[in-house]
Amino acid sequence: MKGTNKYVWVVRDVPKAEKAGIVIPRQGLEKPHTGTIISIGSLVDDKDIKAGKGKKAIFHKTVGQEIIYQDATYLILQQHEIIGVE
Amino acid sequence: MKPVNKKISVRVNMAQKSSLSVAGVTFKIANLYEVNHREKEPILGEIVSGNRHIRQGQIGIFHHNNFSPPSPFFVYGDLFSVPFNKTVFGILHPDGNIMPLCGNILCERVEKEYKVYIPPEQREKHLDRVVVTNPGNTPYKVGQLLFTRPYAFYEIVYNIDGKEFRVHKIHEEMVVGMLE
Repeated sequence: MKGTNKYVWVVRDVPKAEKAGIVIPRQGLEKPHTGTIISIGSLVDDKDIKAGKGKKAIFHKTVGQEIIYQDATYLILQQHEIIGVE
Repeated sequence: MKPVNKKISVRVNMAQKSSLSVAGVTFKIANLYEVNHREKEPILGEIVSGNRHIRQGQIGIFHHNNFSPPSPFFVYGDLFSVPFNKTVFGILHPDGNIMPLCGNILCERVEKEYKVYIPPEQREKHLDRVVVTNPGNTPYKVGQLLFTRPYAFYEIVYNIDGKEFRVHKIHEEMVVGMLE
């Protein structure tokens, strides 16, 4: 999988399990707004994002386009939708 | 007239999708009343004055908005002066092949995978992925799977000698990723 243009491919972090071990249906869970960068498009010009492959990205909860491919869910973000990289 | 500001002059048949001639009789066809502008507006145009990419006498394929009245590109009669940008989809060669231009890519939509049998007429297609059939001047390869923005594909509908043809295209700006 390779990002193109100004798009960044992220795998969203999995929500932490409840401490008491109560199972909450996945649909009811709030999606985390962090993820791991797996691919960066060639037109991305921010140097911190460019060097961010494998690092954590922080973004707003509602942004991005989800693509499901071979049972894996990817989140596609535009460069400007990323708030920070850690 | 020599077009300037990266424009090209095009002559179009404004009635090409609203009427059909059979044995000398002209029929008004239902496309005239279609809501879908891709179906009813002219798409093909003959180049009157082109550039180094598309030359005089060639048939170009354009976005339907260029010719939708009232068009800002209208000159007079059936002559239009359209910008040479991503709204110029490609060149239609006499053998029926299309050569995409200006970053456009010809593609086919990908059918969704089902774990149970679904009749072919009820199978749906993905909204965010296509397979390249003609990459034009972009770096992608024929047969490559591309992921795009949702609904990025554009169905080109055009008529030659009364026969209807349909192909899909996307612009390279709409590609979000690819399978290596």
